[in-house]
Parts: sequence; C-alpha cells; structure tokens
Amino acid sequence: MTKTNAGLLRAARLLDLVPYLMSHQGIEIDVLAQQFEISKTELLEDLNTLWMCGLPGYTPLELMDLTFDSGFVTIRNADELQNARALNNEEVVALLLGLDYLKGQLLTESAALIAAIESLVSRLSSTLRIALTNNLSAHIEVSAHIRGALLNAIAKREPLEIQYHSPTRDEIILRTIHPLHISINQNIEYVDGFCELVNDYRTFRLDRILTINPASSPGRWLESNVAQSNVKLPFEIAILERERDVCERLNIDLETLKTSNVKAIAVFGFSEDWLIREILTLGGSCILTKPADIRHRVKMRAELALNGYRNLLLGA
Amino acid sequence: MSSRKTERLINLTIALLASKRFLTKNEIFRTIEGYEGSAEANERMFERDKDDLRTLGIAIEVGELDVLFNDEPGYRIKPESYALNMGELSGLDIALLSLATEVWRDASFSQAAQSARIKLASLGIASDYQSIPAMAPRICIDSPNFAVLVKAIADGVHINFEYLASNMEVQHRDVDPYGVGNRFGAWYLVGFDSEKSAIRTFRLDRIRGQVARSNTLNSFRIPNDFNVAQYLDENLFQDTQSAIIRVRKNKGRQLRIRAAMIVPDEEFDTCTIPYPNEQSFTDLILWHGEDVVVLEPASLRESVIAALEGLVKSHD
Repeated sequence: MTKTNAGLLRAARLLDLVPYLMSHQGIEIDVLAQQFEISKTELLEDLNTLWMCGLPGYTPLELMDLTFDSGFVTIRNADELQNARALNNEEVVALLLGLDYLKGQLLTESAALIAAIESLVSRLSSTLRIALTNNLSAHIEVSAHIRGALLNAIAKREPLEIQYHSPTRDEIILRTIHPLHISINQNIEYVDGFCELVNDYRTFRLDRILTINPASSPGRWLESNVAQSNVKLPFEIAILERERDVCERLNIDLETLKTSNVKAIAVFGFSEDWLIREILTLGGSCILTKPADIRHRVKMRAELALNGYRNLLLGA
Repeated sequence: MSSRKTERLINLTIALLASKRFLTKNEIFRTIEGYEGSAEANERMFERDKDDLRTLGIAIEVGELDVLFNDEPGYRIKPESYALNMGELSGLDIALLSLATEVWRDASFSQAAQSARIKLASLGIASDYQSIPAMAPRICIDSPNFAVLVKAIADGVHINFEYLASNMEVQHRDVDPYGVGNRFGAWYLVGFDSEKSAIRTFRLDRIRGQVARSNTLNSFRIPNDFNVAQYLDENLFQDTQSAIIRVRKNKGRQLRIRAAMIVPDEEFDTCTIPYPNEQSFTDLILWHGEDVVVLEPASLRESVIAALEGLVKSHD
C-alpha cells in the first residue's frame, strides 16, 4: 500500500471512530483497538489526533471532547460526525456477495430469513450505479472448508479421514479416502476417490461430508499401489493435444511445461492405478512414455475396454 | 500523509457538514485550521483534499452562492448523503449484515467488510443472532483479481488479461465484464469477448497475472436481462444429452449416481445417464476402462472407441 493510501485509510478510520464511540461510550481501549483491527499505539495516536479536531474556532468549546486516560474512551461534542458514514461501493459489494452466500447456505432454513436477506439486497443494490445483484453470485452449497481440504489433499495427494453421512442407511461412517477429483453432476458436487473401508473407488457427495481431517497414516491404498516404498511415482509423458486438460489433470504447471520438452515431461504421480486411469481418461491427448511397464499396462487396459465393444458387435 | 494533513481533512469534513450553506474557498481558508501559507499553496492543498474526500466516498456538493457574490462557487457536504441510510433496520437485519461481513475473513474483500462491519455497529442497533442458525460462513477466493473484476463490472470498464487457453497457450483477451459467479468451487468471469464477438466464460484461476482495466467509465452496457447465476447454470453444467451405458456390477459408482434409470442384468447393468458435454463425459467413460460399454448415442460410442484405439496404438 502506498503512503498516501495508508494516510487516507487513517482519515477514513478517524471518521468512523467517532460514530462508533458515540454508540459505544466507555468502551475499553483494548477492545476498541481489537474492533478496529489496529494496535493500541495506533489507536492512541488516532484518539490524540481526533482530540485536536472540531469546528472552526478550535477553542475547547468547538473541539471534540475525548477522554481516554482511564483506559476507557468517552466522546462528547462531536455531533457533526455522529452518523456512521454511508457505505462505499466496495463495502456494498462485499455485503451483497456475503448476503448471496448466506442465502445459499440458509435456503432450506426459513422463508423469513430469506425474505429479510432479499430486502437487504434490494436496499443495498439501489445505492449502486448498476444493480449488481444480477452480476454477482456466490451461491456455495458446500462448506468452503470441506472443499478447500479436499482440493488441498488432491493437490498434495494425501489421504483424508471423513465422517460421511449415508441418508439411505441413516448412518454416519468414518472412512479413510484418497481423493482424486471433484466432479459435478446436476448441480451436486462429488469427490471421486479410493475408499479404504471398501477397498475400492467410491464417490462421495460433498454436502454429506460432515467432518474432514488429514488421515493419520499413509494408508493401505498407497502401500499396495505405489512402486516400492517411494511415495511419489516418477513418470514421463508426451503431450499431443488438449494441453490444458492434460496439465490440470496431472498437476503440471505452466512453468514446468515451458521449461520442458513437450515430448518428455517429467512428472510425479502417486499410484500406478491412478496413473493408468488418468492416461486412459485423457484418451490419447498424451502418451505415457516412461515407465515402460505401466505404459504396457495402459495398452492392455485399453485393449480390454475395446474387447467390450467387440463382444457387443458379436452379440448383436 | 502527515498527521497535520489528516487533521485538516477531518476538520474540513466537520466544517462542510456543519455548514447550512455553501462555504466559499476564502471562508474555508480563513476559518479551517491547516490552511496556511500562500494563496496558491492553499488552492493546491484544497484541490487535493477535495480529491481525497471523494476517494473516501464523501460527496462534496458544489453550488453557486448568492448571485450578488458574482458566481464564486461554494462547497458543502449534505448530511443526508454523508450518513449511512438503509431505512429502518431490525436486529435481525443487523445480524445478517454482520454475518455477511464475516464471510470475507482473510479473503478479497476483508478490508471493505471490516469497515462495513464497523459502520453497521455504529448504528447502535443490538443484533439478533438468535433467529439465525449457528454457522461459520466463509468464502474461499484464491484469485488476486477478484476485487478488480468486481470493480470493473461496477464501473463498466473494459478489461484485458492473459488467459491460459485449452492448448496451454497464454492468450491476450479483451473483455467487457458482465458478471462473476461461483460454481462448484471455481469462480468464473462472464463477459463479452471483443475478438470473438460473443459472450464467453473464463475461469479465474486460468487468468495469468493481473487484470488490466481501461480508463473509460461506463464504456459498455450490460444487457438488462443478464443474470450471471442463470448464465452459469445454463451454460456450464446443464445436462442436454442422454446416454445408454452398460456398467459392470458393483462398479462405476460415479456413473450410477448420475443415472436417471438403471436396469439390472447379469454381469452388467444398463444405465440411462444424462450428461452436459461430450468431451467431459467421454473422459469419465474412459476413466472406467473395461467396466463400462457405451451403447448410445453412436457419436459418444465412436469417440470412446476412437480414443481407446488411439491409446492402444500410441502405447504400443
């Protein structure tokens, strides 16, 4: 932040301190500093500056009357600034998006809450140049914390322990999963991964995950799937097309791509099975060049899948 | 910015707010503390101060004084434009608005949210949290460009940025921004792409570096009926087609949860599955390898077979 900007922010803060103090007479200095997210020293400087401000004339009659020696702040003679300042555009936008987010979270709760939110949204948007309500949307049905933990685990290839609610059985089951991808279907988010409990791939709805934590041990899946004891599986690919899809699925960043030969990009994976499925999914957009044994297994899996179609033709 | 200047800005605000009539520059220089030195220096100071107050969102009204005083302009701040006024707010309203600011902890709009929270608290209305279910809302936005985009939409300014295209090429895009929205963990910008002459969607995490904005405000019109939430729903994830697929027993959970209908059989079950776009659905089918056989539509079946044949050939 530039120096000027910091100074302006301070001026804004001083203007906002006055109405806040008017409605919180006798507030403790420490609490006030906390509310304004500044240090006690900064706050004392602010209060000392305010103390010098007032109406023209600048005699004790015109100046604001602040006392804070006792550790508690009171203010008098500051009627001109007693009203909270109007919200600026950025604050309105922050509130509009925040309300839209809440609306998504509270949708199933009560009609009265939704109505209250909608009324606030329309009052706020009337203060903006354009009705931003149509241009901003923050409906997030799933806890951002859960999605964040999943995305993080997918990127780092780490297992997670989840409490998962099964509505059909009405049971909550603790599972250790190795998340692979988040996918979307009919406006519902799912995480696809390997579940240790059933020792197979499973799909979980994000909105039914109740708690999420890093798993305590690397887990069975890694032990049985990863070559030797090395957790990271090195492999090499050549990219032919759909570069962005390939890079996003295999976690290759632009810098790696730029500094590599596209015919031989060195990457790390985390299990053979994962790697084979990813290469299949990319459907020929990239070729696995190394290691040779996994490359061979990709071919075998693709042939096996093709057999399904041959049998279909024979059957027909 | 020096403390003296901050003080002067506060004093100027107080004087302009308190005055029932327009104040001339001379009156301002004569009576408000902090204007000292040559007339020229005062003029310069005053021009900067006005700009600073406007940056803070304080509207300074410029008006003509009495005709007898020639046409020297006068200045004042209308209390009704200075003060926060959202009509009557209930305790529930205040609680919802405060909660809406909570959403931004550590995210793009945290500073604006914090100042909005302070202003709302200054109204001195006790918030009624009892009527809202306990929740800890939080918006996750990784993009450093988010705030810039929202501001560009509000200002109606043209933007340009570098975008990672599907071939991983960094492309330059010129866009009239219409809206931003969140779907399934990713944030999207929807806007009119000048070069393509059509509305396009951009994922924020694929924007490289900083978004640049042009200087002209209100340089385009957002269509009146545009709604970003609706646009994203209809264009990103709407199921438009349906496939009939054989899925091996106890396999293909990701496909089964999507199925509109499942007809059980011996080794394979026959599932009818709606899907939004052929490429991503082909990828999903390929992920399942030999556990899945596409029956219909023929185009999907052919593209899966072609991909598998390609994989066999390229991994030989």
